[in-house]
Amino acid sequence: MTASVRADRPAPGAVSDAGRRTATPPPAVRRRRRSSAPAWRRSSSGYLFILPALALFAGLIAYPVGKNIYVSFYDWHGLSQTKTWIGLDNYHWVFTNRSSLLALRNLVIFAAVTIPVQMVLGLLFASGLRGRGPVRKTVRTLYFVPVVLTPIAVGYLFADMLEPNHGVLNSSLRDLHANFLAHAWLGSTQLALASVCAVQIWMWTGFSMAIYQAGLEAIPDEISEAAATDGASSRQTLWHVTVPMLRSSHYSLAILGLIGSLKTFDIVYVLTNGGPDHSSELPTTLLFAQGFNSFKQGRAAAIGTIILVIALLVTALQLQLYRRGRPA
Amino acid sequence: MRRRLAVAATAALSVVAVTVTACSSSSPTSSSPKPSDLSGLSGPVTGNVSYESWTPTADEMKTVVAGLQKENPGIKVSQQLLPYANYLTSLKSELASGSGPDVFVLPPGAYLNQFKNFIAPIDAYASASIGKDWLSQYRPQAQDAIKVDGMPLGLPSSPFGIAGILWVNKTILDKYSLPVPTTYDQLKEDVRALESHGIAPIAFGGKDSFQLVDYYLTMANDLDKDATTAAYNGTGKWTAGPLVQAFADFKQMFSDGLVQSGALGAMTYNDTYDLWLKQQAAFFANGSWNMDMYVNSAAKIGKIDAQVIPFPTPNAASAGNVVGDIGGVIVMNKKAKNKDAAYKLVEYMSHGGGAQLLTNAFLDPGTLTKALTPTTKLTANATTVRAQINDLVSGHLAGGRNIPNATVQDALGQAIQRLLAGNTDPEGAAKQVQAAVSDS
Repeated sequence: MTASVRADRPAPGAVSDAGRRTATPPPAVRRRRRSSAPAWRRSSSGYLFILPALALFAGLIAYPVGKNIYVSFYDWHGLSQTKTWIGLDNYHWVFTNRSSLLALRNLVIFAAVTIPVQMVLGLLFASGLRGRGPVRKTVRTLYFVPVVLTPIAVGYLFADMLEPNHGVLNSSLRDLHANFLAHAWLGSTQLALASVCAVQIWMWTGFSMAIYQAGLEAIPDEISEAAATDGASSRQTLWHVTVPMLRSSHYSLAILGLIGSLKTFDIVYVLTNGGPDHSSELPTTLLFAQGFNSFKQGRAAAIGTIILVIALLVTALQLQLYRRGRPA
Repeated sequence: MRRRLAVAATAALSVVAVTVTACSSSSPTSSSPKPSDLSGLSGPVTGNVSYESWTPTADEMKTVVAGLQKENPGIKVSQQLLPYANYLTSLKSELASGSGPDVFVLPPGAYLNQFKNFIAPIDAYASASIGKDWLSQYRPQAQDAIKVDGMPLGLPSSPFGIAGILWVNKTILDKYSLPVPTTYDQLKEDVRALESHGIAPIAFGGKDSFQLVDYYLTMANDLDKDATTAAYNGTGKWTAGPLVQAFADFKQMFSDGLVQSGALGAMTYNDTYDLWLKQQAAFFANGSWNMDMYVNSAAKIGKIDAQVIPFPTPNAASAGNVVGDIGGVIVMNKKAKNKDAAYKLVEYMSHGGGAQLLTNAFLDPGTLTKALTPTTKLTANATTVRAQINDLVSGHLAGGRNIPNATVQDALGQAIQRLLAGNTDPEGAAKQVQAAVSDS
């Protein structure tokens, strides 16, 4: 059997039926080429080729990360030549200080609120606006516009709108005789984080919509048609057919949302600067405040290291889920 | 094969070289000049100088550079002006990475302390150029503000600003027949009356830590100047009775409704600045540096009959105090390549013709003992307000507004925010600040 299969193959280096020379070199030639250079040279040439990428990685990623971890064990104000070794004191501070505990709590709330809401709204918009036509296309584009705006610009825009005395929101509420609803959106410890979450959701729902839209495009129409033929309502089709088939989109959005939450800085910095009294503080804004306002670079580095560890755990989870979902 | 190896090796080495170069930074160099090296300062100098700051505005800086170039035709100045917070962040990163501008401005107090290792001491240059008595030509507060460990590091920069004052819109008060308040109770009565007319009370930027610190220090000085000075300098405790009382008074100002709704989330620039200029608030909590409104927002402020009064602290032992400091310290980078040219810019802005140009822009009392008066024409109201500010500077200045310790300055702002948010009491706030003293 083996011999016949071999016999069926074209001779090495021969011209195939299609008139093309086969790409596979004859085994003898392959053996000869392999043995033409010593093993050390073959392997060193490989290493040399990856060295540029490795050097970039070492210089731009590994070194800063290593240096950050190193600094996190010191008391250092960031500018002097001298640092004082304090062991794990900075980490102890992060896990016992009120401001950092509030920042970690706020991060959990921020992620737990913004990610699911963005996903649900994104899915609803993507489903509702599925199909062709200029109106749908325009509305989809409008929903996506906030995604391409810079968070700083969005922050200033909303800071102006949410200004309690003469901002658009409160002025409109007062005009509608709903004074009881007019609040100090960014100046209240009860509302600051919620306001930041709302702005974040406004910014990123369009992104969720785009991801779901791509996922929906990949689902054949026949499946929805079959569900309808079987008597499923459009809500049932969405919940029992479409949502499970968008599993990879859910994973992607959840993971991107988690990593995005860890990195969120600019929108909070502009809207509330983490206040009042740390009520909207996130680890990133606290890191900045410690490093640049309090000149506690070691603490800032410890916060950065903890953010990195959380991001690595999230990435590990993502890889785990990816491997589980991948066909064998 | 050899060729491929060579290409790969060259590529790898170039990347490593670039990376290593990017990651390295040269060590600071000594910059104490010999007197003979400074003989060039007596005449015009040439060369390029880079300048970074949050102040003055780009247009004002253009005028300053033009004036400097009249005296030194061969000098070229490149400038980068950023908003205050962004500037300090950017400067710290630049200096830490071994670069940075030749000349830059630092707030006195904590920042000057923290950045001292990057600054070329100014004494030799100023002595050679202005004279041995150069320091005495500045206001006493300015002399103190430019020193770290007794050594002057730079020259004082305008505006000389006082804080803890209240800007009053007398046009609004007159409209509703209300008096300019001189006591806390009168201020409360005015606010109640204005409330019924839809006018906001004091426009207060509580999101800005500097505002919280300024008004707290003013109140504390009104209660006990000695205790405040001791805590400010690090020799006394923030938990002293009068300082705890100042926290209570600060809280009272908020609970009595003397500030606008949402004041804790408002920024001075531009939330409360706009409320004031649009005449939507009758009072404005901001420092005397706001005099520049008469230059930068002349049309709007021209419609307001403004006055400046000291903040009427409740329960004050001796009301009417203000706190003040120079606007900044103009310093030379230790690594500036052309220090003569850099110094020329520093001196021109602080002591020379540039100081006059900046006085025209800021309308401030200036940092020199020889008072500069604006050469531009002022409105009657601007003249009145300027005279009121000068009176407060000469008779009511209780102390500085930039705590020398950065951690304490930051902690004070945070403790007041926590207090105003209702998450601690005055004693707790005082302990939080005192804890920062031990922590730093």
